[in-house]
Amino acid sequence: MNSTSKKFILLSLVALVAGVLLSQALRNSDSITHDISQAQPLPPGLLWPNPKQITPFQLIGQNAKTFDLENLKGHWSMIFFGYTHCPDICPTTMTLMNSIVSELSEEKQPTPRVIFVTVDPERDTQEHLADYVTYFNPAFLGLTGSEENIASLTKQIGILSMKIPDENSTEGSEYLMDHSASILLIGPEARLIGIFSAPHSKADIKHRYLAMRNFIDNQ
Amino acid sequence: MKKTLTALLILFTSFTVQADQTLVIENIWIREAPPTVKVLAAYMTLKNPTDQDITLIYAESPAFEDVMFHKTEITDGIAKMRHAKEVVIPAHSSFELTPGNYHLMLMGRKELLKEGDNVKIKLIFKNIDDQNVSAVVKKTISE
Repeated sequence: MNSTSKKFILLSLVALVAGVLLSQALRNSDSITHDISQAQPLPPGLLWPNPKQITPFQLIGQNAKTFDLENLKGHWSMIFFGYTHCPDICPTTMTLMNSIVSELSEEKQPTPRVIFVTVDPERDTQEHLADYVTYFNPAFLGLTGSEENIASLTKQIGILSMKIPDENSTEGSEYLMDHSASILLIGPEARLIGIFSAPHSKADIKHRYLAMRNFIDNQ
Repeated sequence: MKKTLTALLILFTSFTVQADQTLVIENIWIREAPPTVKVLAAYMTLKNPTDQDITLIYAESPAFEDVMFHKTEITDGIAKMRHAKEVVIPAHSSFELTPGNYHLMLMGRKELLKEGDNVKIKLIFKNIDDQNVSAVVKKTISE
């Protein structure tokens, strides 16, 4: 092999290596560009990277059945805390959640389970609560329990409530409840995945719920 | 004949002017509630085209034991419902009683109310005549 042939082979090798490197670099830059274009901003209200793991609690559901941590597992749930003597924000939110679930179902999208937890166990008996939630949707769940039992769930997920005497009530014994108005999204591993703060918009919650669920499913 | 027509026209015009100068109450509705619930809320739009503020001071309905003005406020994520003594509809303005805000709190429902029912409500004002309105029962999130 003469020196010209050697030079040619060397140059060819250099060109080959350069070509491979260049194509890899281009592919890398392609994939970077691709990743950037695919990266969606995280939906507002998503608690990531540290979703709160819910710890044991015990409440009472329909038909006096116990509802505890194990019952949260394996489902996506939207949870709202309120009381049935609330004429404005609670029925508004329940009607809205029924509308969200109905639309998702019509669109063949995955639906969450909807759970209403009372912050007024004194007036909201389990039977009364069952009638209340199933009026909005037969599949909705209503949970009650002793004040301590309800607190065992609310305290760990930042839900607040306070009894306010209603001095304008005719009987004088009536009271109102101040309560957190957020809807919480719990994932199938019983982790608090997202918070939808009030005021609520149907389209916004539906969109963010699907985005959060999709995000977690892809982790 | 012509005089009569003119007179009628003037009369009609004056009525129209009169109507333009009073409070207009629209979209009056009550959200249907579960049968076990006896406390409901009524919503409406009050339009005041006059030069003076109009103050709603009291309301009553034969379908309920008691009616109060309430306002829901959401502060730091907490919903608080508070009694409001009166509702002022400012001059040349519109005032909304709407879900998550001001509403008529209807207490002690006497009979079950279903979607499509009409409920009489009497609104009593400080500076104009009482208004008798009819609210329709609906199953929607908001008007």
